[in-house]
Amino acid sequence: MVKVYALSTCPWCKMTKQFLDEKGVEYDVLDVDKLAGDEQKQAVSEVENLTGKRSFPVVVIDDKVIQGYKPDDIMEALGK
Amino acid sequence: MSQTIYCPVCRVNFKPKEELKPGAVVVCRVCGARMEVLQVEPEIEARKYPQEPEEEIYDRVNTFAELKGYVFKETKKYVMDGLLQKKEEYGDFYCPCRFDNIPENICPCLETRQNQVKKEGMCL
Repeated sequence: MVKVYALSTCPWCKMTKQFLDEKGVEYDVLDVDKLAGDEQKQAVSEVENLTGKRSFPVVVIDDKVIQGYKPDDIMEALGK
Repeated sequence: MSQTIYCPVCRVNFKPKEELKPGAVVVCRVCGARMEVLQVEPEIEARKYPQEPEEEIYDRVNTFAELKGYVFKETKKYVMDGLLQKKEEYGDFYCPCRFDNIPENICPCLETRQNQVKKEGMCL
């Protein structure tokens, strides 16, 4: 299961999604800045718990967490 | 008589190198922001040099890179577009990849101003 936490203003987030699309990887994406209220608070605290920071993108592949645009780490985590 | 200039972008007071006169244009050596001196007596007062948003952020980031000896990657344009989007939506050049629109995250962000970029070679 692949989950991407993103911001609509963040270019690295766009690139991460493009990369996953190019590799034909299915993923859920949360554009956190477009969420509201509790849903947004929940997503931000998830990111903070996972990475200790409130920066994006954050890609979660099973139990692996990748902060920032790191295609190589993504490939490795996918076992490809 | 305070002889320091307050930079409204990185909120630092610094001593200008050269003798200043009203109308002089000064660059903040911490973040690269361009400022215009309004008055010198009794205290130095300066404000952000009036520029169009796109001109302002490119000028600031280019100046900052020059001061620190950084070179941009080809992805610079995308980051600048993100900064302009944040300026439009939230009123200032907050980092496009950070959630919090707070002064510390005004580009160049506090971490980058404190040479965090040098070690990792890429802001963020």
